[in-house]
Amino acid sequence: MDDRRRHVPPAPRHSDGDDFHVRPYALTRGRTRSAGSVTLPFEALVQAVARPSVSDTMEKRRILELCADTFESIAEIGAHLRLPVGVVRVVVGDLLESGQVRVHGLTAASSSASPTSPSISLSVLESVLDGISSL
Amino acid sequence: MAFPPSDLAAPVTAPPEPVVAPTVVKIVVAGGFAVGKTTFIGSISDIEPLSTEAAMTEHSLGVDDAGGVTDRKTTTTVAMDFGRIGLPGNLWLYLFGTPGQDRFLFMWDDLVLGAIGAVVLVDTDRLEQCFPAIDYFESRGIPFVVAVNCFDGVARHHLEDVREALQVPDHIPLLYTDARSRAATKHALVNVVRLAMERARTPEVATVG
Repeated sequence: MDDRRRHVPPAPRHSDGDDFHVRPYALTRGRTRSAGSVTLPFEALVQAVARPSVSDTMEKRRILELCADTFESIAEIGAHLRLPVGVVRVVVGDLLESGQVRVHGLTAASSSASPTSPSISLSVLESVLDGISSL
Repeated sequence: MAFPPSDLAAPVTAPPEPVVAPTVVKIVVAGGFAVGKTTFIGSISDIEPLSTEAAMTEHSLGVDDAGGVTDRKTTTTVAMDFGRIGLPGNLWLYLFGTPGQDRFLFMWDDLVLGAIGAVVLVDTDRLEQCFPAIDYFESRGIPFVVAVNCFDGVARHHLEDVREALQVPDHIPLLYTDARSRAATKHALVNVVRLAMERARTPEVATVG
């Protein structure tokens, strides 16, 4: 739509110079969705269940390494690897399809047909309330 | 296509520990441009607020009308700032700041999906900037509180005056906050969760079409 604005370079937020510059779509071969049907929420937690392999793309390897020993959300992966969230979603979706990662936290949000009535249980809300209050 | 992962020679890392994944919940922090969302998130987050590029394309990387507050914030991207709080019971609470401009409203559906609720931060000098956020959450029946940010730690307006100026109905909590203060942020978040719990007990309220 807004083609005249496309070539303004993004302001470097953390460093300059060493970021690799590849168009986001190139990393996903033009896709905005992965092969799977789920749209991964920003807060969904990714856990690697396979080690990076030489046959994986660079992005897959980086994600598998990052999530090897810990749970990382889609948003955190984007932040740490400096990849747009949309790209992370597609690549993680592919890794999920191939069984290389597990994704946690999908039930509350993504499986619901109604976007505005997610079923967070009262008991979870109570735990959140108690938890915040105790901070 | 799945490749067997075990072909690599001499693996140095053990397979992931079978720990239980945390339960994730999130609260969305909305409000106008440069109103203090990232400060609010940072006041309580366990991690330094992180920033991630939230849009797939580069279409929105452009020159922005900063609404006359260019001295507060000079660059604008489609970055989304967020933080995380670990809570007892293996709970992780994420706080997601909305990209600060109306033209990114299309992204909010993604952000609010599955959220407990939202905090709308208000700068009383630029009240009109929070209207899109209030309209958005109200029209979708998402629990939210309106938090008036006191930039200099001083409340310059009575809450009831703000309520009238914003035309916020009585059932929506309105409170003071100070985005820099952990205690004030905590107070705002507690109110969001309480509201969500009330809604959960009377679910018919939440289905506003």
